[in-house]
Parts: sequence; structure tokens; C-alpha cells
Amino acid sequence: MLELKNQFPIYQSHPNLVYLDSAATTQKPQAVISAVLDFYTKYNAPIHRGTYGLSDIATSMYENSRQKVAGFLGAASAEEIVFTKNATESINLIAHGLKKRFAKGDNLILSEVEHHSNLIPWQKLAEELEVEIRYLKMDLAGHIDLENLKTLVDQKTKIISLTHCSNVLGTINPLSEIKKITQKGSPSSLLIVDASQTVPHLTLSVKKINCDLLFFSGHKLYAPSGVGVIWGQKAVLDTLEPLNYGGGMVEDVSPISATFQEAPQKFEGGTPNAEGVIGLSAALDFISSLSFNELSGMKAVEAHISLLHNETLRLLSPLIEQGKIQIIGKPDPRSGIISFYCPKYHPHDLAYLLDKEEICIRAGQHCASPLHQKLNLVASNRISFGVNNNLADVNKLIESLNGIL
Amino acid sequence: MLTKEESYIFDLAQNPQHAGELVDATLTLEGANLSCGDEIVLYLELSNDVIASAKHSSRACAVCVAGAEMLIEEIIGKEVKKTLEITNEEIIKKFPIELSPTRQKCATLALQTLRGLKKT
Repeated sequence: MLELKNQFPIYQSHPNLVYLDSAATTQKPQAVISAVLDFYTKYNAPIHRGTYGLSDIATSMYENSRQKVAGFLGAASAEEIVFTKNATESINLIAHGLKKRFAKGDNLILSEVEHHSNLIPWQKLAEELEVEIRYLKMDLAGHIDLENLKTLVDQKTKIISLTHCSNVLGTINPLSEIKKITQKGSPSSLLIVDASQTVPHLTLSVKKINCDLLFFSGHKLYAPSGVGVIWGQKAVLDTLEPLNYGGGMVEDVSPISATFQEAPQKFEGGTPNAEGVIGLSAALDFISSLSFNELSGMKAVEAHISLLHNETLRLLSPLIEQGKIQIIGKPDPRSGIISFYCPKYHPHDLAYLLDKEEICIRAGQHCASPLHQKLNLVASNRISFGVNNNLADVNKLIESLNGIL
Repeated sequence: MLTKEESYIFDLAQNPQHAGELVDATLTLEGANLSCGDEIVLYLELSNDVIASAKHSSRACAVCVAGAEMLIEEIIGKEVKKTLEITNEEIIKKFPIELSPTRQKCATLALQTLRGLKKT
């Protein structure tokens, strides 16, 4: 197991904290906090704008971060990485940028488990362009129905936008198989992947997934808030319209028109969140530095999360057998996500009772209302793990749940 | 362990006195808190602009149900326009436990729902 609590300063302020909401946002390691502080105290200057040495250093740090993210995702080049504010801005940029691909009567495919951020931008696009949204069904365990997908795709399918891992059910979608099916039914369709829940725990390769666009938030990956990423094949990025017009993304501007730089710069209008991007780079270094047993980097993280996940389910089994809690779906251990429903207490009330013991779990619909409607649940509770958690956290949670229920 | 004050709220929510539907309701108002999924329906029977009877049907947390119970205790027998003067703080003050800003939204969902009367 990884034992990293001493690397997360939040535990100095809250020594008894049991933080089990990393799927919402992760706590920050000292390495990331120091990188942000270091940038502000030693290197702060405008990116891509200054003609002086300090700006060159800041720009170089920013662009090196882009290179590091590209390497982390197995991308072909840094030009395929766009920095955004978060996953929500990423998908809004993508949906806006793809509008020209659609004609009236075309369709796009989403799944029933999507987070609101991968739902509402498409609803608005569908309404504006008179495009049909088709929903991919799932079984009761939360697995996508691939046979159903075959019946949904046709020549008018322009995109399929899916989460890699449900933020509620913790199920991981077979993206490569999905890509094969959609490409067969509609060769020009694009596969867009919300990797917000898998980027923190899994070794990803955009080449292996064979998707066209992928996005995530940095703050779920131990990085500061306010930085997100889009990866896209350069040829696809070049066809997207920018979302934000302004300084930093233009090539030539006259009083009546402007031309824009190529991707990724054309998507990064305005002064960027340089400290966030540099913090993200530090977060990737932090992940790379982790190891236990023979495992290192993300492989160590994946094993650590799976251990916590499996041990939690094992210790929860008496409560499950007694009907005191019901696990929702069949979560993949690598997701580090376990959602459940407790007949005795409303999810908010259970979270309140655990909070009294400094145990933070999520209660609500986790920005996935349509999924909760399908499951006929008002809300649910969710436990989610990060690298900062250990077995003592799991034991304290189980002990508290046994006491409450 | 629940404190005495917490037990009061949970008891109120688990044994609500005003839960159910009003067959002769003059007005039915629906409210929801999208961030947590709480849902409430308020049934009001009006007689000469006075709330003669009221009930609620809630799929909600204990704080929300307790808030609905407290609100109904407050509004029965009152003129509609007087009930619309009830503030969030008046409901929150009735709780013997401290409510975080998030839980204050739960506590006042029934009141927010009642304010739908302004639109009728």
C-alpha cells in the first residue's frame, strides 16, 4: 500500500480527517502546492507575451507542462494538448467547436450515465441545430449495452460522447470496442471521451483507446482547481471553432476581421492559468514518483486504489447482507468509486452523521440526475478514494457505519 | 450517537404529523432541490384566503421533512399573504441544531415551495 498522508498538508490541519470524496476533487500534495508557490515567488510573468527573460522562463515552464501532459496521455505531440479551465469548459468548447459538423436531422449518441457536463452542452446543441440525441442503454450493473449501440449508430451519427468511467456507478466503459462499432456504422463519427474519473487512477493511452477527443479536470488529479485538458488528434482540433476569442489566440487582426493561430493556441484566448498548468505538471511528477512493491507511477496508484476498493467492499459485506446498505451497480475496483443507498437514512442525513466523525463522503445525485431517475433514487451516497487514503480510513468508515446503522 | 437535538429532528422526520396528500386541496405546489434530489409536494386547502389545512409529501432528507413539518405548523389558520412573509431565518431558527448553508437549503425547501403561491 501507499502511505502518503504525510505528503498532504490538509492532514496537518485536520489530523483525524477521513476524506473519501476524491471523485469530486482531490486533496493536494505538498509537491503541487510548492510548485504553485514557487511559480508565484520566482517565475511569475505573462505567458507567450513578454519580450524579456522572465516571461521566456514562464512560457517555457508552461509549454513543458503541455509536453508532460502529452507524454502522460500517450499523445503524438504537445500540439494535441489544449489547456482549459476544467472538464466542463472542455466539453463546452468541444460541443461548440463541432457545430459545423452537424446538419438538421443528424444524430449524436450519449449514454444514460453521463455527468451533466457531458449532457447539457449536447442538449443545447441538439436544440439549436435540430439534431437528435440517442441514449445508449445500460444493464442493471451499469454496463453499457453494446448490442444496443449497434442499433443506434447510422450514417447520420456524427459523434458519440461518453464517460470513460461513471462518476456514480464506477463502471468503466469498453471504449475501444465502442469505437469499432461506431466506426463501422458511421466511419466519419468521432468518439469523445470524458476521462475525468479514470485519469487519476488508470494508465491511459489515447492511441490505445483510439478516440478522437478526450478531456478531464486537473483538480481530480491532485492538481490545482481551474485547469483542465483537452486532448485531440491534431487534424480534429484544426477543424474545431474556438470558444473564446481575444488576445493570445490571434494571428492577424484588422479593424474588421481576424485570423487565428493553429491549435492548440487558437483555443487558449486570454491570459492562461499558468500556475494551474504548472501545478498540473507537478501533479504528474508526483504520480510518477510513487511506488510500492514492484509497481511504480500510475500502476502503483491503480493497485493502491483497487486494494482500498476491494477491502471496503469486503468489510461492507455484513451490512450489505443485512440489507442495511445496497451497492449501486457493479463498480470496477480500479475506479475507486462505490455508491450506495441506505434504507434507514436519506443520503444527506447519513453524510451528516459521518461528518460528525470527520468522515467526508458525497451525498446527492453527483451531477447525474437522469441516472438517478432511471434508478428511481432520490439521491445516493458515494465513497471515492485517492492516493492519500489508507486502510485506517477504510476501517474508520466501516466502524462508523456499523455504529450508525 | 445522536444528540438529543438531532434525535428530535430525526423523530420529527420519521414520524411526520402532516405527511400525506390532501384530497380536497385547493392548491398543489411542487418543489425540488436539484443539487441533492430532494422533492416535496405541498397540498393546501384554502378558505377565504386562509390556509385551512395543509399537508406535504416529501422524498427528502430529515432536515427537509422536519422543515416541512415546522412550516405547516406555522401556516395552518393563517392568511396566505401572512404566510408569504415568513423568512428563511424564521424556519432555520426553529431547528435546535446548527445548519450548514447546504442544509439550510434543505430546511427551507418547503418554504421555497410555498412561495410558489405568488405565481398562482
